[in-house]
Amino acid sequence: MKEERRVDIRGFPSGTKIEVETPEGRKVIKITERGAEVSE
Amino acid sequence: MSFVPPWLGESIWQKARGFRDLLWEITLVVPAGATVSARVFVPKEEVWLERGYEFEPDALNVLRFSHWHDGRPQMIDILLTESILSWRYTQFEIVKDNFVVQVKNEDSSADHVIHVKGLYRSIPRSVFDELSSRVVK
Repeated sequence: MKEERRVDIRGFPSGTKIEVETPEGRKVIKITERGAEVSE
Repeated sequence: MSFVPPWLGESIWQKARGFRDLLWEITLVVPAGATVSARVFVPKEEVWLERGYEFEPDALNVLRFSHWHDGRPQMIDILLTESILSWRYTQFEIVKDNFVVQVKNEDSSADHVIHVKGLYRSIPRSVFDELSSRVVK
């Protein structure tokens, strides 16, 4: 299963930052007015 | 009409100052034998007041849940033994910077999924700081 399918996040307001740690590594999700921006 | 019911007055006051109640949801797929975590940073202009949680694991007695608010432990290694488990704080738990959701899968042969919902109140940080200064000197 690819890492993109490991996390689903809903309901957080713009300005929220989420750091997700999985066995495959770390990703940072930033919630903006345009939606979620994902970076390594 | 001069009388305002206290419960309504409180709601009007909170709305006028930008308070709002929200629900967040996080679904994590936890690989067999692994640990997955999510650290959520509160927007800089807000403070969150957590009211409670609901957990829905896809299997019982295999997932251990841990949770921190601003580094303070809320739940550590709690084994999820019910298909839907609710947790409510007495009032609110204040989160000024971040909270962490961590799930450990003790099943070494299969991935598992957990769905976590959190009910919280968001208030402007400026209002929180002003009110805090009146309470804590």
